[in-house]
Amino acid sequence: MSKTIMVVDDSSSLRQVVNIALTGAGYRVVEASDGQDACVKLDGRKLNLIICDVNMPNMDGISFLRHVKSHVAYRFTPVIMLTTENQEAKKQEGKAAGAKAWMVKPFQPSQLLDAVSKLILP
Amino acid sequence: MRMEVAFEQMAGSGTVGPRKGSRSARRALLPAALAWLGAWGSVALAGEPTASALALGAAAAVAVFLTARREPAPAAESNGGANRALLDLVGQVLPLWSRHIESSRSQTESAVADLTHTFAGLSNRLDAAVRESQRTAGSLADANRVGGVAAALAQSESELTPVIEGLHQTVASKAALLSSLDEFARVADDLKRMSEDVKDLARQTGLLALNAAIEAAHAGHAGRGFAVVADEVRRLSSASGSAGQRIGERVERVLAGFASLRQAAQSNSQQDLQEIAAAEERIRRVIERFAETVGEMRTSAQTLSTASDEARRQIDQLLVGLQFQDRMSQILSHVREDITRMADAIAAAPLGAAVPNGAHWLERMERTYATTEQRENHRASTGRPSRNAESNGITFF
Repeated sequence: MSKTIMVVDDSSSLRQVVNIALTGAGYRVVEASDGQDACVKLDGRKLNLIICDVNMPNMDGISFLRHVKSHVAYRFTPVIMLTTENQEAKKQEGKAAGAKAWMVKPFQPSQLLDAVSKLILP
Repeated sequence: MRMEVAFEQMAGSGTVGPRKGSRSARRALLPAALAWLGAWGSVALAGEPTASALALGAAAAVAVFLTARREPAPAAESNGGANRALLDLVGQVLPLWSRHIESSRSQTESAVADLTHTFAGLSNRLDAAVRESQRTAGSLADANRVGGVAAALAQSESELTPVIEGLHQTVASKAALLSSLDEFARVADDLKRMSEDVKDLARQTGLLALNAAIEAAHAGHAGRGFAVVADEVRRLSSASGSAGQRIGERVERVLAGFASLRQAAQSNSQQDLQEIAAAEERIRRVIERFAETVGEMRTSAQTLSTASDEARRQIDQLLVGLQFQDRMSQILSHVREDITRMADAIAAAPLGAAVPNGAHWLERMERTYATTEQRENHRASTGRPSRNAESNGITFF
């Protein structure tokens, strides 16, 4: 059974790009348009990894990351932050909140797949 | 006219005073705002002319509006009236600009999402075509792969080889039969010679019996009994000769039959060998043609695969390029939010609200930037170096 990855980004075109890269590599993808939408879509479903933007309306990526890490079912789910933010201070904020990797947009699909294959849960 | 004075006059009553120590920051606000409004245009490059024109128009209008405040007024009263009118105009226009920016942003996002979807479809169909081509032609890396023409060719060769071997075994069996027939013929020859011996013995016995009869006649009455015996021996000799003759004739017929059978078998064997050689040649030619076709298909599949790899690489680059929309969208959203804040500040100014502090405004702007372009533009306008380190690529924690 293929592994499931949640992609959280307010840009539909960015979600498309990530979705194409992941489904092309055999992963199942659940999309959410912001942190709030992602909280609703978590719904106890099994996720092997989460890819999350930082700057989003309603609930930003760091807040969503904190929410995920406080949830017993997702405490060990690896999270990759995928964002235009490239400041060290922001990265450290993400690291402190529990992110496993920080990837700056624009990204190469192959680069994202490499990171996913390194971090995804079995 | 300085900006803080302009804000006082915009408020109309002079109750809203400038904050101390913020003059330089307020001076910087104008070029920062202009650069900021045009920032996404540089990111979008030739992406969206409507949005670009809108942002540049917005920048130009803000410039006209703020420059007007720097010119000396002929009279304080008329100046205050004009500023109130301008304040009212800006209060009406800014929300509209904000709406246009959001509309352009969302249209671009929708268009880029469609483009991405289309390119993804192209990429997937290309992949499917290449996979099908490679499956049909057989794996280039592994000729024994299940399925495909290469595997079918290898299987055909392995199945046809035993057929040819079987035909050769049939011919070998016929040769063994011929050898047995030759052995039978030799035995029959022996039988023929033995029948000749029997006939020769009968002839000699007949002569002996004749001599005995002559001798018996010479003996007269005393030889009459012996004459009877000699006569019987001669009769038996004659019967033996006849039997030998019949055996010889039968053996002749058997030999003739063997000869005919051998000739037919030899003839069939030659024909079989020729047909087997012809079949082998036909099979060889068919397999050669088949192999040539497979080779052409492999070359074609290889060409298709190479072209597909190149197309995929280009599509990947294109997908990276299309991500400009995300950056543009963030910059535009930031501009829109700041325009809304500016409109709120302008709307609140006549009601006695405090004029926003320029330094604070700039700091807040800088704090909420999400892209390098925004920070670079901010630095270019304010002349202040960045306070934070930056790095791109991926970082694992």
